[in-house]
Amino acid sequence: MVMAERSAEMAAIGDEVPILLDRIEAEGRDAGVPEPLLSELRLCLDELLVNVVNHGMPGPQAVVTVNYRLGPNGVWAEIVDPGPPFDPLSLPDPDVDAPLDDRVPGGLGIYFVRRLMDEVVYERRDAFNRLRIAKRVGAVSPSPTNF
Amino acid sequence: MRIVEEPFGSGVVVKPVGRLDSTTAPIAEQAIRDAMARSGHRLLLDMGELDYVSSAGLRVVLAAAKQTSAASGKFLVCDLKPQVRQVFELSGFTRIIAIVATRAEAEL
Repeated sequence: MVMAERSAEMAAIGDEVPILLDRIEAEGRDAGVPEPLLSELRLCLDELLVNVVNHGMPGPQAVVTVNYRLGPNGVWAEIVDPGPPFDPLSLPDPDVDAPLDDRVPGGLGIYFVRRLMDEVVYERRDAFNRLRIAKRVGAVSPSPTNF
Repeated sequence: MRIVEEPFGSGVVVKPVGRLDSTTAPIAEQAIRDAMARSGHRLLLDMGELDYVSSAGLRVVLAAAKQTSAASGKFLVCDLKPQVRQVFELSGFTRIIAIVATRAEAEL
């Protein structure tokens, strides 16, 4: 079964992020995405969208697009933004074993995405940044045609 | 997000209700900073009604932990729901922040 691809757009404004996430979360629930995965998807999209909005969008009039597929067996999403080229995967992981005094804020969002998703791919194409994430549920023999 | 605050032991308990994300983190940060100033940096963060936290929320928690440590105060977190616990574990916060199961087990 191939899941239908949907698409949502938002202005590059921080307050728009939870509104979009509420919508995708509700659609995911209707589509039968298991709750733990839905929660992980929300977190990952939140982190990535906030990064896009806070760093490097041309202005609040710029539009960020999220393409996504949601189903009981997994989720797939692609964030497309017209900001300057930036690969968030190029950032080093934070030191999550450092003692309190040595901990510095930052870097955790992308780290969560790396840890929680099965696939995280960045691509710069046609003047857009494209960040794709995917995770399957208990896939015994993953079939690429599902995603 | 809503924030409930009340005296607790020799300090204060701050309870964020709802979601702690990039849009609500500034509100929580201000509330925690005010509570620390009033309580001599003795603070319990009750997460019992916090449904969701992102890295923007963790930034606020880390700042509170660092500030209370620098002021030789006390900072405790209690009652983590599953999503909050998962994010605390992933980020290593369970190793650097004092966490207790419930408010009843917290001592300030």
